[in-house]
Amino acid sequence: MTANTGTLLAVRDLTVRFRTEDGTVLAVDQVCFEVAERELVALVGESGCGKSVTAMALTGLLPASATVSGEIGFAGQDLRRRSERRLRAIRGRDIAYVFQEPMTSLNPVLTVGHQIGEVLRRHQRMRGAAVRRRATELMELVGIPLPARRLREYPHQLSGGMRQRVMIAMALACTPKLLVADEPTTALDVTVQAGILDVLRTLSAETGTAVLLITHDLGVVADLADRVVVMYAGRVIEEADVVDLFARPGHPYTRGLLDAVPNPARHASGGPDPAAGQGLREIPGRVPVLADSPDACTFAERCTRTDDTCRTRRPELSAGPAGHPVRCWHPLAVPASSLAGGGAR
Amino acid sequence: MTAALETLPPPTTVAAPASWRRALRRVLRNPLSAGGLVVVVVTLAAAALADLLAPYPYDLTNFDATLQPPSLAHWFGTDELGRDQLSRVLHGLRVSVAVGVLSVGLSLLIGVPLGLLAGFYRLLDPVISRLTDTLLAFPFLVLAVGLAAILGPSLTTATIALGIGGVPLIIRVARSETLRLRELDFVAAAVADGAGDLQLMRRHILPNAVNALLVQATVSVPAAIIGEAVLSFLGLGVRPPIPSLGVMIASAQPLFRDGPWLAVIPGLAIVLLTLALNLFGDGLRDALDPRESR
Amino acid sequence: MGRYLLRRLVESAVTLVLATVVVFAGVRALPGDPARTLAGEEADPVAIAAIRRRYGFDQPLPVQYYRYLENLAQGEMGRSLRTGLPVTDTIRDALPVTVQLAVFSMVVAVLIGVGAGVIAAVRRRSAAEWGANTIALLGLSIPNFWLGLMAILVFAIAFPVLPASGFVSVFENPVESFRHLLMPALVLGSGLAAVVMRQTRSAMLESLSADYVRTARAKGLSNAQVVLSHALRNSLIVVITIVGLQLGALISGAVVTEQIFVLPGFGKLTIDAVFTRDYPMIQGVVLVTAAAYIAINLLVDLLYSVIDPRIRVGGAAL
Repeated sequence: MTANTGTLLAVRDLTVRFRTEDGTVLAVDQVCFEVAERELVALVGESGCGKSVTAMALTGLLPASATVSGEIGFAGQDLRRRSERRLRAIRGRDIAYVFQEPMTSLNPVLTVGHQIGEVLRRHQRMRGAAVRRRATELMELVGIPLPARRLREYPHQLSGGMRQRVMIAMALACTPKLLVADEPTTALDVTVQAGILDVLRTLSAETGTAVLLITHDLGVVADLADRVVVMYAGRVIEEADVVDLFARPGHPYTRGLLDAVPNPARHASGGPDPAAGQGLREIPGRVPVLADSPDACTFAERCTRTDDTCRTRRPELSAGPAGHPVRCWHPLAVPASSLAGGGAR
Repeated sequence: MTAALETLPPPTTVAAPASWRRALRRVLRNPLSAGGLVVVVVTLAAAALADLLAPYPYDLTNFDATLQPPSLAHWFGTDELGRDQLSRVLHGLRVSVAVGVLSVGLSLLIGVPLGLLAGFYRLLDPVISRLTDTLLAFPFLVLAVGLAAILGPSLTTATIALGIGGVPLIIRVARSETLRLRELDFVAAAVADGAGDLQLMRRHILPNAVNALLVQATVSVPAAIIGEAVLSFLGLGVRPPIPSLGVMIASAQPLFRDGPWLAVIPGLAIVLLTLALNLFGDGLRDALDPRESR
Repeated sequence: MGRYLLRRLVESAVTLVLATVVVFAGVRALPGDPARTLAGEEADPVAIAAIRRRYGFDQPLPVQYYRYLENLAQGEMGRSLRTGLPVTDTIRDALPVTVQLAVFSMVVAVLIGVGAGVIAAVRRRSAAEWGANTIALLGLSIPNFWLGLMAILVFAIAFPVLPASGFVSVFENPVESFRHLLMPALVLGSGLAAVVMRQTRSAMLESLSADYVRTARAKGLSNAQVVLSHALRNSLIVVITIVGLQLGALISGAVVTEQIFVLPGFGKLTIDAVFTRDYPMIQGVVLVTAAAYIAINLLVDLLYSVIDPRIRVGGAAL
């Protein structure tokens, strides 16, 4: 990991509750994590674990039915205390977003050029020809061919991959300090995904932008991330360097996620043999929807290592056997084979 | 009649039995639509029991008490023939409700099958759509008059005219629901199970289209009630001696300066009933829409 | 888009032809001798025979229909039984009145409707939304003719500020025209305003919960920008379509309004014709209304395809 980088984003005890028809739902439960400058941190978890809500909470983009508490430290200020006007100045300029569905995330009745231009006009007070030039530049940067012509086109005229590149161009327009990418490749074809991830990686390195990457795809994590934060049912349950996480996971859930990735090497020819531990491995059960933070481990129901402590006392984040924070009463031991190598890249 | 042309965006639910109760709860939670429901029920009851509730027979004339403003003896006053307005309004409401409901029923009877067919069979679609367009192109009034010329003005004629006039909208809703539902997976599953066309329409598509149709009906009924008032105002609907709110307003026109209540009160009755129906319909539509839990 | 246009044109033509068939058949469906019906109750046998020859009632039906179309093409729609004047001329004189009334009503309705709709959508669950919604529902629940009578009661009889009847063309005297048309326009436009308001609100709600609005907010755009540039822009497409379609309803609503306010327009012409059994006039009026409605629908579809870039510029390379 590159040295000499300060902390850009420091989230402390972030808690988000939603008012719904059926009562209150606790979506994010005292989440803490940090993102350093120029770092690429992956926020990982299944659908429903609260990672998207966390991302939206950073700049106050949650709906009115949400109650947010905690501290969001960004470049020296607590974003939670900032007025809506100040937050609007930060959105798009210092913290930018790329969302999952490029087709619906772009306005269908406005040209692509106009939508990129909006960010420039809003935050950098550019006008007219300067906007067009800069927009063309940006589109070239993200790898869109014939950018000058594309300026005048509408989202539906572009392919999925192109649209996502436009979203990235829009996000990087003002060289933000932090780029929050919420499942940027999930809605795209596998063949297109690699291209998008490439763009994200090279551009963020070039512009020095830190990236908070939200995903449930461990392959993407392995490819891009410097550090990983694993979430489950609204809580952070593990945090580690990417190599460390893959080699020496501490939390049973993380182990389950890693195991769930289909691995052709695990299957002998002639089909998988479940008895021999082959075939697709899944984690039985479902992510719970909680109204309140229980004084227990939220993964207890689905874990194979549960005991009474797990069910009656809430585990805290503490250093696990591998050296990085794990929230578990019985974290996994370090496999002997990986004791040799360190966590350095 | 302007109102009759509004097609509301259909709710995007697939109806499930449990959701009905939930929907009803939601409706009742909204004070406006709950109020609307109450008013509707009360009015329906009053109209149905008009014979019992009316203090006087609606055609009883009394030349000693003509053109009386509202008083204790006559809550809604009397007209130029001394007839009690409260009794007449009650009976008039009965006519309005009857025509409103029956005509929408007729529209549904004709429109739903046609809409289903249009959405189901690609070949029939343009034919039915062109017919619907043609029907829509004609001023509703002329349609009503034509019918009145052939059949003679009466309650039946008004009902039929309104019923036919409401058909295009119902066809449109039924058709668009069929087109939408047809693409959904559960239909493909049913087809894979070997369901025939009729079965599909009856057991799968129709039950799920009920939501949108119900919503449209709650808009069509008040529109039909107003339509009946217009028709009888123009003399094309119910004939005396049966009172109709529209007729009452029409005959109140020349007496405007002497007896304004004669025109005001029947109109207020229409407004009250229609507003209540619309409020309830609105609440029902919001309740059936899954996006409401935002 | 060219193909779409062509298809719409053909569809409209078909509908128009069907309309002429219906009108043609309509008169002949009435009980009695069509020639006598068209000539009028009082006409003498010579006039009746002339009409019979002119429209060819003694000829087989297809020939009659052809004659009918022929006459139409020449703008010949017969003479009014009531006044004896040519139907074409009478209609031509009455149309401007209704058009002015309709345009005025539409402007009022759109201004009020869109404004109220946007407010209701943006200020969800507030007093403003409920208020606007209820007023909109009121607009839908009040019969035109009754509202007109009440308006006259208040503004012409109780507090005489506005004239209760009569028409002055805006090209002759704008101020007087405004005074004479204000009540009718408000009355006629009330229903339309209600529909516009509700459709605007519904379309805005949908736009406001769309993903691209989330993107717009994430870009740091102000609330006004998000609502107007993004949400409203998308909603207007739907709204314009609705307004265009309601024009037809406006014309039929004008019928009763003109009756109440005694405006010598197309609507009053229709009613008078209908009640005096002026069949040549009825034929002409019905056909013109149908044609106008079909034309308006076609225009709205064209407008729609121009405004929505997804239709205008066609599909993508996916």
